[in-house]
Amino acid sequence: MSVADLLLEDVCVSLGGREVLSSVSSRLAPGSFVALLGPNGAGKSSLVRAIAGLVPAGGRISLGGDAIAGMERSARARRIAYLPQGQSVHWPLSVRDIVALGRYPHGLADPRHASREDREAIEIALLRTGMLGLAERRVTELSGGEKARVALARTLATAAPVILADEPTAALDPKYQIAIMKVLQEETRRGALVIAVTHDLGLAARMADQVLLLDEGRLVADGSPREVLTARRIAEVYGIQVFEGERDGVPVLMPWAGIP
Amino acid sequence: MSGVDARAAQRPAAFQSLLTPALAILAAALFVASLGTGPVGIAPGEAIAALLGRGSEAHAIIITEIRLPRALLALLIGGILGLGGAAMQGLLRNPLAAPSLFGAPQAAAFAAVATISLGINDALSFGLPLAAIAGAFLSVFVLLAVAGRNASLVLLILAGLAVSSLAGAGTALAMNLAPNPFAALEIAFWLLGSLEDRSSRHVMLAAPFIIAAAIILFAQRGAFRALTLGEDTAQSLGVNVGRLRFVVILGVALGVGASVAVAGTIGFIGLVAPHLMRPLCGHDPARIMIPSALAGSCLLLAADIAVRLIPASSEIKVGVLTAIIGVPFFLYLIMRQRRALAGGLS
Repeated sequence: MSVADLLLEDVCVSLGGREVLSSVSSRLAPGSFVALLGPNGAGKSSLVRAIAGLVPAGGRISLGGDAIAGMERSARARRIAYLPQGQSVHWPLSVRDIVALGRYPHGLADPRHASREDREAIEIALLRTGMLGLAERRVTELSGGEKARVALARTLATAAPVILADEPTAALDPKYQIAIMKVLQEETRRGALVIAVTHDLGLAARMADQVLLLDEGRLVADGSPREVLTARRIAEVYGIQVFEGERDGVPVLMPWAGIP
Repeated sequence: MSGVDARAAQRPAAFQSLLTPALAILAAALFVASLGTGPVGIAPGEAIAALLGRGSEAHAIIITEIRLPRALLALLIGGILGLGGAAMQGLLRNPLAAPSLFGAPQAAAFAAVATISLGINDALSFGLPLAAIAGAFLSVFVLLAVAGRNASLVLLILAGLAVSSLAGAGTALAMNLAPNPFAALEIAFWLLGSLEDRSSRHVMLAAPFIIAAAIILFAQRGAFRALTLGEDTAQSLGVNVGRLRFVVILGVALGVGASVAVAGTIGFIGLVAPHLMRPLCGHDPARIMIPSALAGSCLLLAADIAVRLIPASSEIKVGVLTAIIGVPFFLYLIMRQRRALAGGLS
């Protein structure tokens, strides 16, 4: 337990008068990889958006004791970086200019006026995501996997202690899925708290330090992958059977069959 | 995005840094040419001398009293229309957006026309500009009241469409009920948009609003770049998207209202200028702003020179010329964007 923990206390989110998330409480520690799991419509994205401050939430969300609702916008943006689902880029900017937007919360409005600190953060983010060689390319010329890495690089460039990623591996081939998850895992080793929404039970079981399992807006389980991702619970929440195995002491989980 | 555009977007930074000075020189040259163009031909050198108070007295009067206000208005109005278009396109992340999208120019025109029709103003009185500015403001407030402050862009566009349709209907009604044929004719001519016979008082009336609008819109450029990644991401980066939307609409209403007030409705500059500049600025929604303003000034100065050179029984109104050139251009843009547009507004 650390003073920089992200603390969720009775977090509720309502959209259009319907409660999509009710009374979620948890404590998430820096340096840990937290997987947010649950069926479609369970409230995963809403929880991530509430933490990012994009939707108003009941209860209290605090980072290191500071309520995020009370934080000034750019201060919050410096501490919590958000990688939304399905990256859209509306103008064909260069990869470097897109990544430079990660420095916007630090006051960098024009990439041409980057300070040394900004430039360093941008280079490091490009390097860690393997995009350094493509930095001058237009994002519109890139493949889906490359675009996802640009989006991740933009998120890393903020150098925020909390990284929220909403389905960062959706629509990517297995190689990119693993690459993206590895980059996020490396960030946790550097002390960041990474919260990733995912539908990939296997990657969650393998990489996460903590799993939050949501179902119909409620937190049904919170703990290590071994504690949370039991065959019985997965059957209850997802309505599927899983194949369970192990390799080098790491749990292997694979969706196997539906339960009639 | 086509391959041609993508290649054009990769122009070196050195080229981009020359763009603004080159456009400024072009605008200055067109400004001087505008001073020299008219029934009395005045050479560029003489025009500049007359501005500085030298040369013949007749030329000095023609330049300072008649042509300088006209050239200044073309510079200011073209500039704010270009900047307003770039701002709107940055906000909506759509190259087809233009200030007229939110109904401000139509509402400004309606307010002005209503006062002519009611006999409160005639086309050259100073009540007219004030009414147009008020109309532009009112349309913004109606828009925000209908769409709500944190409305989605689709909602804003629909509300803008409703506002502009209502203003158009109101304008038609005002002409319908005009007290006499001369009033209707006056309205019709004024609606066409022109910079003819404007005085320095028109300049003084419009300039403060246009300059304020330019400052307001230009200050949002960083947020437009952040919006490249969509509203959610921009918001997560610390951009107050709701406030940004309000500020952009306010800036556009100020600039467009003041422009319509003194020159009638001059369309399509806000659409064409940013489009021409986009590939030259690396498609960057922030870097495009000053070049768009300068290109808008150049376009309107050039169009206003052209209407004086085209032989016709009476001078062609500049608003007519920009529409004749602008509408086919708009259709061409729609055609190029067809596939993206078919997918709905994002």
